[in-house]
Amino acid sequence: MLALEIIGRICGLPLLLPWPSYIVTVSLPSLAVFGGASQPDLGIALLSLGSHLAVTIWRIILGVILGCAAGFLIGSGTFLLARRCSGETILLALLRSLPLFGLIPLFILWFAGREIGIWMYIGFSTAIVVATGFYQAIINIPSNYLLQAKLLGATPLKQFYTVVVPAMAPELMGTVRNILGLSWAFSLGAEYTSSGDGLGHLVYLSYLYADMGKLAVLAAVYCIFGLMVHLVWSRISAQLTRWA
Amino acid sequence: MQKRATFFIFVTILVIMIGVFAWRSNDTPSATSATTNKAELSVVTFGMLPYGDHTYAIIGAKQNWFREVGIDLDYRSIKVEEIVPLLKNRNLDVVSTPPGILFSAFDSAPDLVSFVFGDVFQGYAILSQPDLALSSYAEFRAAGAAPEDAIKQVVSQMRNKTFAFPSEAAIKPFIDLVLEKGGLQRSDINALVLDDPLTVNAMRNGQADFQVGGVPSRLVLEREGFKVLLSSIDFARMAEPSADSKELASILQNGWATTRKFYQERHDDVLRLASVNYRIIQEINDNPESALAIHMPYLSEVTGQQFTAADGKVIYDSLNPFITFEEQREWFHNTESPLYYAYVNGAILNTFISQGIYKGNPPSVEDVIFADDIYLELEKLKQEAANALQEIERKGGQALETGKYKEAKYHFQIFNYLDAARLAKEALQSN
Repeated sequence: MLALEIIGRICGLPLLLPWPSYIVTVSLPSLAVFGGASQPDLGIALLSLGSHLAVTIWRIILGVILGCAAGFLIGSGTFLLARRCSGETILLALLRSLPLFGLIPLFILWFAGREIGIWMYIGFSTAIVVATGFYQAIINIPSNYLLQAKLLGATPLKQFYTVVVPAMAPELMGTVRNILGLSWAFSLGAEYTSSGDGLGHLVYLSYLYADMGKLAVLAAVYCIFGLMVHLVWSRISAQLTRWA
Repeated sequence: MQKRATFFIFVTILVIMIGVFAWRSNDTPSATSATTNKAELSVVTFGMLPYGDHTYAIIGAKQNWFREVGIDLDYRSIKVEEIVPLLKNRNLDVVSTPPGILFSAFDSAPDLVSFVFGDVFQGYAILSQPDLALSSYAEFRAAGAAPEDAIKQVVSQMRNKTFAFPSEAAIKPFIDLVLEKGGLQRSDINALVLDDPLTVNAMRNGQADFQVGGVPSRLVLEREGFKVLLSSIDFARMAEPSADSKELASILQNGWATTRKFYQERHDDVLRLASVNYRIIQEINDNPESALAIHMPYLSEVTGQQFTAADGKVIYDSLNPFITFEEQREWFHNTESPLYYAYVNGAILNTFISQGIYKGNPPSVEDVIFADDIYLELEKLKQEAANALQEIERKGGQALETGKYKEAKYHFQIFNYLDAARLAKEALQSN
């Protein structure tokens, strides 16, 4: 941060390369304009930023829940299919190869700017990642665990919740951690092109007018909250898999 | 304990933010308008691009002018990429857009039409680094150069220099015109093709000597002291009255668009929307300060940039002059004028055709531009209303005291000729 401050001040081009103190004292208050303020105002800027952030977080939560549910279904369906025929991994490989950010214009066309389009996009992108992770987690369960469970007389259902689920958990925690990071990028992509609010929309407008200071503020917001989510999930997953 | 505290703090922040969102989402722009009897109002969903020439509807919305003609305008800011999908999928009834977007999307969306014009976009301009101390077209003209010579002298200053511009199709005609009229080839300049915002940074860091881009980049760079050498209006003034005149492709007649279905099924609403459009434009011309007092704060909010009244004056005077109902007569009646609607829009269409963008048969101007029909219809209604009002005024006495006469007179003044004619005829019949 100190290096950026020194380099930025030496260059002396705050509109091109804003330094940290400039970002905090000038660019951050200037976000108040999104809240209808006629002058830069730190309070209104934080409130406006907070409301757009809340919109983005809400979309991420909904999209990730939808995506995880769909991903689990796709992953487990692929696994069940694998037990009857080969080539199931081709399906997942095809899904994984889809250029997720390239699909945004398609979602705009299909859902035409509606809120559900953003949820569906985040959900779809999440589902692909979760499906792959889920499938990998299942096939990585050592077969002797299930064999031993069978020998001890466990029913398929009991095998599932006493052997399969605990065995998958560590890998799934990693998958969810990836998703929680990627979901910010998915929301940015969806909001950038097809939303009238949210952090991605603010990024779009700041980029449109080449406002490097505002872009730096928004990048910092993404970083801070992405890190917070990562730290919280690390605590949760450590607690859930403390036996591993 | 510390871990639980971190988790608790995060959840608390999250809940507060979601609460803020819930509070904020109830305060949508169209929800803050004055309430009237919603049952009498016809709801029209309206999209505005985040630019000065596409957000002027806010002037009418904030003053309830749409409600006065029976329309509840549910407006919001949209992006260029959303125009066609939102209209096609009926998520918006009307959008403010350049007709060029509709022309270029004709293959996939042939039923989108432009039904009223508001302003002339003449905002494309070549900007230069201030420390190069170059002369502009206006300066060469002031020194006595003829228009064609002045352009050649301006553009010759670009030889072997770096010129930054975006790759958008809309700006290509202007760039080609600059080089052609200036006697330069593409090989005579170092082209730097970048996204519009990145051309701004290329000028800021000295990577580019010259730049042309959209209105956002022009406003930003002018504000930072970069010099305008040549703009699209300089070319338009030299244009011939013909769709083959390339100079006309560098300007646009902006306005509002909808689908054919909406145009046909809700034709009365289309006429009323057009009337409010003209009322707003009259206000911009007659009382620019009061128009700016409403327009600029909204523009600032939807763009994230502070636009002052001084910035607004530049938009109104130079970038996008708004043309009144009377002044637009030239656009729809005078075939000798270069600004005749078929020539300006035909020039844009010819550019797209020459770029080979159409897979099927290319559209004609009349397939997309319905603004002429609406203008002529409003003129006819205006005459009918004027005749009926004159008849009532000739009768005098009690005829002038009726509510319908007064209402007809008011709607006549605010360009709502549809209801003015209807009410005036009803007033005449009842007398």
